[in-house]
Amino acid sequence: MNGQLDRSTGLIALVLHAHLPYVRHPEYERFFEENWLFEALSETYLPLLRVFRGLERDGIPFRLTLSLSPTLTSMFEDELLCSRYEGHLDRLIELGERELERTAAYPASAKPAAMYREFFRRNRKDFLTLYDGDILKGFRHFHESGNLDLITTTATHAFLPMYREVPRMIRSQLRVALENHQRIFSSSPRGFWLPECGYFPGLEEYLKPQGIEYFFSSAHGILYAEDRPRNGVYAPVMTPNGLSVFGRDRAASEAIWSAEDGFPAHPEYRDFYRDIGFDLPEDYIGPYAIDAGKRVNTGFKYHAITGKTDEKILYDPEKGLARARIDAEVFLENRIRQCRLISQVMDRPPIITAPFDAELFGHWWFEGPTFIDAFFRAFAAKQSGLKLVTPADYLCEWPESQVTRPAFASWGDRGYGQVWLDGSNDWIYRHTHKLVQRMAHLIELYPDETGLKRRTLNQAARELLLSQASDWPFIIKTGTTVPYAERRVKSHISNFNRIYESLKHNAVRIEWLTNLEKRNNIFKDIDYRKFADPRSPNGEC
Amino acid sequence: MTKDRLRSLSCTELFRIAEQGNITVLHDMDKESLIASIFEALEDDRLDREDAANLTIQLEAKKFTVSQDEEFFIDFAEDVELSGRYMETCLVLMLRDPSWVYCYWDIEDRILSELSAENDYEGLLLRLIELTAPEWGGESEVDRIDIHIQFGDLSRYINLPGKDAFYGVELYAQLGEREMLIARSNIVEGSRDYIADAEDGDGGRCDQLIQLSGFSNDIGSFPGSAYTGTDTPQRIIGVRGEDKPR
Repeated sequence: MNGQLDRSTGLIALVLHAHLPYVRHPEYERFFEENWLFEALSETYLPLLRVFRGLERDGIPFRLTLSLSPTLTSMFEDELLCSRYEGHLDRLIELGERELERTAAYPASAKPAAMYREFFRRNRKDFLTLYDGDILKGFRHFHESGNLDLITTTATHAFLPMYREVPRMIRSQLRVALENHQRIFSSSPRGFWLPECGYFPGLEEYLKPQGIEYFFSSAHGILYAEDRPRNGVYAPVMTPNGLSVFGRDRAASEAIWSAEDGFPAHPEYRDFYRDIGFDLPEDYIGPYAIDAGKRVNTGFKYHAITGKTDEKILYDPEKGLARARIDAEVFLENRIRQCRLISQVMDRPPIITAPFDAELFGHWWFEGPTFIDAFFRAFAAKQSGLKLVTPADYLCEWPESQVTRPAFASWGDRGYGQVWLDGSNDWIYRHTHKLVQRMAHLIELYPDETGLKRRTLNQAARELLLSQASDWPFIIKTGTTVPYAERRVKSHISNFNRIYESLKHNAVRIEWLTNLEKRNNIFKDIDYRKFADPRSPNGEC
Repeated sequence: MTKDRLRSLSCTELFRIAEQGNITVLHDMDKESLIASIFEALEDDRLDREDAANLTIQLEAKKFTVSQDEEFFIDFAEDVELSGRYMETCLVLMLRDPSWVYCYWDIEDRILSELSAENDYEGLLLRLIELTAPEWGGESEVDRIDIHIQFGDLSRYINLPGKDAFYGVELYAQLGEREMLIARSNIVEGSRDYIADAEDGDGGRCDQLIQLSGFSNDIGSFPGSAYTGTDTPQRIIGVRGEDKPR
């Protein structure tokens, strides 16, 4: 950058974190929760890649940091899930055809119906023809072109403050994640996404040896740092061991996050809740929206947000997209004003760090990818004095920042561990902590096995990691699909314990193990021996 | 959960849902009244949950929303039951937020049997110890608070009496005048939830930037957010007496 950033009035770092838990059920023909991935593919990941391609085609420069979780990239690579997604798209395209016929006499409904048919057709074409079923190709391309700075997060999105007393596990979560990233993208990330922005003092000691240079924190993590942060959240702080910490900007985040005042709440945008899967009669919609006797969303949503009323008006896709373009301009204008104001009291250009869950764009806020597209286009067209950067760009120009120790923080409700440690989900940690101890014991007993024992120990490592996903306590606390989340965490704990007992009694059942390997097949190249603590062969648990 | 979904279930399943969700229903209710009661209770519960979460969490939860019927996944056949205990003595302390720690423990059966056989066994207690450094005993101990627990208890939330301190917990059996140490926890460091004092010379500029960051310099709070509260977790015990479980 050679001083270019220093001459700007402000810097904007957009950060998207894409993550879903590992959900894959070959034991069922179709599985309800696999739709989490299919919906996010259709509404977020493929549309975002289309946005990036459009920007590239039109020569619009853009810079974005994208965190891809290892569980998500593992699902992207999974043949079974990819083939199921193809079937999912085929069903929706067929529904699109039927919807065009059904709505032919109603022009207002026919408009979104036609849009959806085209939308799913494009997704199919992109997924199968352009990417040959491997969406990672798309992300890899924009990483190599320099538009995306790809980073990653912990192996199974474990919320690390809950494993503060279990260092061995933190190291394993990091190591497996970074190996996965290196294997897929042939590069090591400079930054790291802490799941749920969950930081505790000392976590940097685990990140530094893995080559990580920066991570993100909630604003209060920086503002409540050991020393008063001289630049608020508008410059990173540096941990005593030299990692940079970028604080989330409240104004930029709330402009988009807020369900009431944020852009996505505008009445012209598509309503997330109304779906023909629930609105149309069972005999018509059944083949597309009834799963194991339950109605599910189809993605065909014909209503606009409208306001706080049950009488929703019909959604007009053109108006929705036009609104997204207007809002992108407003968002940019506000950031320009914000930077001008802040830069008056700073001795270097302020950096506005705006991290979001990627799935907000498209899945929740249908027009979100268009907003991102319009934002980059508006940015390129305007002589704003601002620059789009990644944290890595920033560190090239300003490798040093105020040294201090940030405070424990997350971006969860009330700012700490309240979502992931609560009366509803606290039972999990007794088990997951115990499993780490047991894994250490297994490594002590079997430090370098081969054959069946190695397979068994590798599967134990997979079950251990899967049990630690932050998604399960999150879902249990927030109340969506609670029985599934409980069953998942219990089954991984139970599988691990069964392996533990089987190994102790030298009685591993090959058929059971093979089935488990087929079902919970994440991290195919996992090596249990790497779970040994390099500092203490016997573990510290 | 939609009314349609509830209508598709048998009365037995509806009663089961009501029981699981602690929803008060009468046994002689007809199906429609039963559905109405359950639906209303579930809706209240859903709205409470949404209100209790900040924006980030509300929107993050949408990733897992692919149906309006997902609150009850009627598939109990594959439930996996876990034992709540590993029959090994342990005591673990976890920092939940600057005001609360969560503590879980277990006691080996052998010790429990021995305790039961003691004539002067009076009960168990947790001792929260405030320390100035992350080490047990000696001069680092500042304060201690005893919390009596029941024989079958295995976990507690404990309200921390202060900040900027280290905390550890010990688990004791009370035997008449004696105390028997059963387990000692790890030590956790409390967390700051305030902005550090200004250093000489950078007060004004720094104050402005902190305010622009969305925080009040005076009270160290995040206006309009829920960060400032010390809302109590579920199933807690307040050691200062004024905190009530909710």
